[in-house]
Amino acid sequence: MPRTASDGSSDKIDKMVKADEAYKNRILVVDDNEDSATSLAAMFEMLDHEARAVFDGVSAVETAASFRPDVVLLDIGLPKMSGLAAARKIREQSWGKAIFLIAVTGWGDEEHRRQSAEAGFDLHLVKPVDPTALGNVLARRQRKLRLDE
Amino acid sequence: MKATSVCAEAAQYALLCRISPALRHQLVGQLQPIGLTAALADRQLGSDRLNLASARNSISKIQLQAREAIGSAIATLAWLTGEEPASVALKAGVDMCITLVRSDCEMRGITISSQIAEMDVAVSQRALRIVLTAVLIGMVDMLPHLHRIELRFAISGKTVEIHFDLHFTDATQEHSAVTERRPLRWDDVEALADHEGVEVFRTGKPPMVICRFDVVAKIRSEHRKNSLAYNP
Repeated sequence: MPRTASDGSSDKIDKMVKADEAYKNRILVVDDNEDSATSLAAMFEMLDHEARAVFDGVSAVETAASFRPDVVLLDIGLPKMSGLAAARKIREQSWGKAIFLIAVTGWGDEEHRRQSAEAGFDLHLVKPVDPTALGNVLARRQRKLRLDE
Repeated sequence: MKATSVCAEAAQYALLCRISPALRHQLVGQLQPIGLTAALADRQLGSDRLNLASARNSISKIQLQAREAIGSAIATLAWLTGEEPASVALKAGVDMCITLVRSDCEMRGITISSQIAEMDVAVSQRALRIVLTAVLIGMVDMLPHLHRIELRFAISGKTVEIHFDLHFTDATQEHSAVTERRPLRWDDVEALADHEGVEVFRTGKPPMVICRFDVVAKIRSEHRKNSLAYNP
């Protein structure tokens, strides 16, 4: 079962933190609402991450193959290919196994969480997603990478 | 509208419970961009490298998104309040119902496709919403090996039939069942259809559901895109 957004809320990081140069994330944001995707990508860019935004499932898989992101924020209800199918496609690739896959969706039932876990997501966030919560996720990931070294 | 029977009332409540996550999904889908764009605007305005044009662009987007969200929220809430036009163009109404349930169905591994084309007929919006949505959800709930639902139509005199062709996977592959809410049963679908004055029946070979709606209006072709204008 993917973890939920509340897992790290005790960290109480008040602001989205800027990326360390050594732990700058390449982030792919996928949402069929273009404003959501581009706003989030722009915000990550302002935090010194490298971000791209695409708006359907097929583009998500294609862009992941060329962009090789560290993190993918993937909506579930996408045109052309669902977010679940896109996640499975990405996980099938040798380059896709280590990507941190985050489902960002309006569906929050246990069944939906189980479906996203089965598709290979590491984390399931339910909209509306607080940008600060996303910042916490990335900050935790940076800390984990640092500890793993 | 008929007096609501206990069966129809129970079925209406069950349907409402089943579509409530989808309604939430639709509402949040329109509100999320506002939150994200506002967060971006806040960050742009607080940046050391202040770019007023970018910030102004974000604020303009928020205004537009808010206007769209209001319209969308009112349309979504009409599923609950029933404050809706009496009739709807067939294709627009069918697409509206499919949009509501598609994402949830896809998560369960079921695809829905429609061959219903633009045409000059309108049906009762309330009846279409309730019965068509109940059939889609009911089939998903009742048929664990369902893989694909395809919608077709046929017009006969003053009625329009919507055919739901049901396609199945082999017996080893079940889609995930609804566990957190009461599943819809066929008697729910029948009670809802009866209450809305819609004929509904199932066939085994080929597996299919057929709904027969009364045509309530012919739409002027120049107004087809705006399904609120009719020529009764």
